Amino acid sequence: MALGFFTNNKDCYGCKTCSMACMTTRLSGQTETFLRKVEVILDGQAQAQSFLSLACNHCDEPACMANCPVGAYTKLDNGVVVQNHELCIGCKTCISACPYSAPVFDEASTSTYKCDMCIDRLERGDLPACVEACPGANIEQGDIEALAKAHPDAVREVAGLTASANETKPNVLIAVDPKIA
Amino acid sequence: MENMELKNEQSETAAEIHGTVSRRTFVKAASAAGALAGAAALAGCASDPKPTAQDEGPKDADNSTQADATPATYEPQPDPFEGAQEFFAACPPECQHHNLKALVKDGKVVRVTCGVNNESMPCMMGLSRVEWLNSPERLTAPLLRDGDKGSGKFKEISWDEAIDLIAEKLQDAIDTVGNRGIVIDSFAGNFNTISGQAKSAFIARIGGAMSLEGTLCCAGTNGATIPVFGKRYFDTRNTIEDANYIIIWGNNPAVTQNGYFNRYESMMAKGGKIVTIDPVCSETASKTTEWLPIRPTTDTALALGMLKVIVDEGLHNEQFLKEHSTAPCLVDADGAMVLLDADDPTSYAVAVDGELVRHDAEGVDPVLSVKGTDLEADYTTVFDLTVAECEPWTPEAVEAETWVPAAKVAELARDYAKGPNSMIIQNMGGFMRTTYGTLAVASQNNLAVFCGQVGGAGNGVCDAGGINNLVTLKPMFENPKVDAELPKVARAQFATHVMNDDPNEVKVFISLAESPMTQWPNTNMVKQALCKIPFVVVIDSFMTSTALYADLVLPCAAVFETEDILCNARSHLIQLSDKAVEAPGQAHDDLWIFTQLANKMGVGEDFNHDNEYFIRKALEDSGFTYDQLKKEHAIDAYPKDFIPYKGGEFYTATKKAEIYQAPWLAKGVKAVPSYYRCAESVGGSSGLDATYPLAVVQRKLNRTVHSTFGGLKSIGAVTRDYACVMINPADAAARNIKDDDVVVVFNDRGEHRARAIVTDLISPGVLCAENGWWEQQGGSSSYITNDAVGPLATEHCCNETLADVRKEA
Repeated sequence: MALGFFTNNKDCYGCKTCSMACMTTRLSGQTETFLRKVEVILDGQAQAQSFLSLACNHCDEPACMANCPVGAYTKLDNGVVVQNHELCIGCKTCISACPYSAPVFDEASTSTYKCDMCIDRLERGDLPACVEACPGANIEQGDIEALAKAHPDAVREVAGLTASANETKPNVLIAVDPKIA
Repeated sequence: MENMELKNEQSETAAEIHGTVSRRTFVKAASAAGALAGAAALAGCASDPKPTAQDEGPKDADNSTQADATPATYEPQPDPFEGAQEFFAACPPECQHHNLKALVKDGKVVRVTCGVNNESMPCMMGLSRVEWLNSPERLTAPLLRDGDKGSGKFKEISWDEAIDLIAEKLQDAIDTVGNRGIVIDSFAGNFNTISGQAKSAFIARIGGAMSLEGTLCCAGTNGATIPVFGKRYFDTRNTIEDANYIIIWGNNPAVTQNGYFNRYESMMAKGGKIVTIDPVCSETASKTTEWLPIRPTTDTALALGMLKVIVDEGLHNEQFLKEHSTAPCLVDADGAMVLLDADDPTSYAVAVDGELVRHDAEGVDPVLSVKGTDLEADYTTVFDLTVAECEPWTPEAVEAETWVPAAKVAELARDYAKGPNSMIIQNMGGFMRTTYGTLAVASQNNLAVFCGQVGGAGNGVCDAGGINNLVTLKPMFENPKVDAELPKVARAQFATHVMNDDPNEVKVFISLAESPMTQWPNTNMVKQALCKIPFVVVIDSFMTSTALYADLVLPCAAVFETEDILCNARSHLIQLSDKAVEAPGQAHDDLWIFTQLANKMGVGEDFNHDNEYFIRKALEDSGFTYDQLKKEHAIDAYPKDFIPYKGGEFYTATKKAEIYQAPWLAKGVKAVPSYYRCAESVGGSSGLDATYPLAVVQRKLNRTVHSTFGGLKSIGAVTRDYACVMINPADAAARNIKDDDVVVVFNDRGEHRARAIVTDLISPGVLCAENGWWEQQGGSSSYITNDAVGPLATEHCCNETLADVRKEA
């Protein structure tokens, strides 16, 4: 089993509520450490204002984990990649290693954070904060195979926009905006 | 129906997870729920489900075939919000008024999230209120200016000193200039009831003041829709998905109707078509079927051209026009509508077989046109007059004026007329912030009336929508009448009035729930006015751009720090806002502040009650009670499937769309929608285009509501903390401007600094500046905007602005 995210780049209109919901839920009190980010793609020729909401893709071969010098990363049986902040020394190696820039250094705690799929919320039966808050219902979370079945056209990489899926085997599915495809 | 089923299914799954499943299976169960997540979330906080995709997801907790999902090395962390108390409040700036929930621990708000019973999900700004409530930047004590205005130098004083000082200054103004020397203004920063009414009650009790008129946002809708349709503030959001064809005209619902945008996407997914008319390829334009760029200020010419095609091709709905509009009514040679009973202003005459008959006579079937009949010598009809104004606007003429290709004009007209269900999303669009904004609105309304595209599901003209159309709160104060001769001046030209002492000197200006330094046009003039007025008081919770220019700044309570009620023109909810926490330091709510002032001025008798007292009073006779709202927090009081102007029944005296407006004649324009080129446009009578060849429009960003939220760190970090301006590559190349260069947009009124976005997303000849930037962030785009006002409804003309742009040296 591998849990992952589906993100709808085709329908997302860039409000960034997911980012704010994520930070204010996961890192209460923080104001600038966003673990889910919405990339803005402006393409005049294509008449495209396009938006891609991504957090951690909970890769099958996580580069963060492979490169962390203190073993602060763990990939759980369900696929979720989590951090141990007691071990994290804030060296930022994982930030450089991740092709999706998922980990974010938090100045306040001098530690590095990233999306943990709101695993504690999942355990309590709640949705991840981003999924719950998205006004457009453009983010889903679940078993990646089930998500793939539900979104047969969704892809794991977008050329020119995200890293090759071969690099780290991300558990993310993207419904691509045809204007930037 | 399908949506309801999905929601129910989701909540059952959630209940299962909460109730009975062991922790080992939690992860699997939650993941199954997650696949359905797009369909629904918690009760009252569900996004509008989409018709696709979710149906395919796993639907029960046992779907997973994986053996064991229990993490080996992960110890679940306790819920950081466990044990938090929940409070609810309306998000009250001029936006969609979503209900929010605050979680409170140890007297502090620790998280803000979706409240109850919302029509759609709240946005990023609503959630950012957790920072607002806890920000170290909050104002916590009255601040007296201690340096030049604008220097930002203040010293703390006590409330007693502050109240004494204001009372003294007010009394001095009354003694030396009269009440006309005082202006106490609030605007779109807070739609809560107590806040606004406490201010008005105070003004009335001290004998009145000079007042400011003309809304900065939607004077054109007031000018057109209220007289023509009889009432405004009706949205059509609930039937977007019933439409086949939608024109989104000069507004950007992806930003300004954020929570509702997926309804448009669902409509398109079902095969509907949406055309967005805008000088800018906005988020909305990009996501809808087609972007149709238009030259700023020319929208009326397009609407008239569309109507010409519709009438020329016989696509108009004759029956609707005869039954539900004044189109068949006769107009005499003097331009007056013909009355058959001098004592009855609704006794309009229509022509039947050459005879004059009351328009509302039993079984009447009037002609729409008297052309070619004997009546033509003395009369014309509203229909004929309306069509005559469209006559010059052939598709080719429209193309020359508006840049919309002739073939597209005809296509738009035909698609709109044929629907079968066509909707115009007007939503207080930017097109109406021009000199003739009222006529622009009226010309679009006319398309709906001529095609019978109003009064049914999936059609209509979408305005901002409000429950206060259907539920009326009782006034919280019984205010004494004040001198009717007290001056009223146009808000957009307040600064000029101040500078010229026109009609008199302003000695005291108290400003709350607004920020003139960012939102009012011609910022340099506003700044000069704030410097000239001897005593300026700003009531706010942050040091806003305007507060920088105040003599005295009073710290104000924010949402979740005061109890209030909201029943207004932006959502279908009646909401009771809880006081969840104490305001920081010595900050107080507007009621407390005006109560102190009223007591000091000796007029405080009616003020000395708590918020609950006023809320209970407002709710008398409303059909809703305080106790009910205390329990339910937010009540959606709109009838299900409500259709504005249902069946073509309008709120006018005749119950018809009164498309002929004789009062307009006295203001120097025709009584039916006609096109006048705006003075400050390319080719306009100002002649400014010789010096300033670029038309500037303002866009709303999703980071602020006007200027509200703009100072928050989290907002700056998640979006950006600097202004940009969009410029076409051709215009940029001619000025040696490259993408991301710092540029200066300038005209005779001032300069606005921003970073260039060089892009084909904007038409050549147009710049798109951004509304809402604070002085501390480099200043507002209003430094360059036009402070003219329109003749019909005191229209604010910010989107009728010419400027040029240069690279910052």
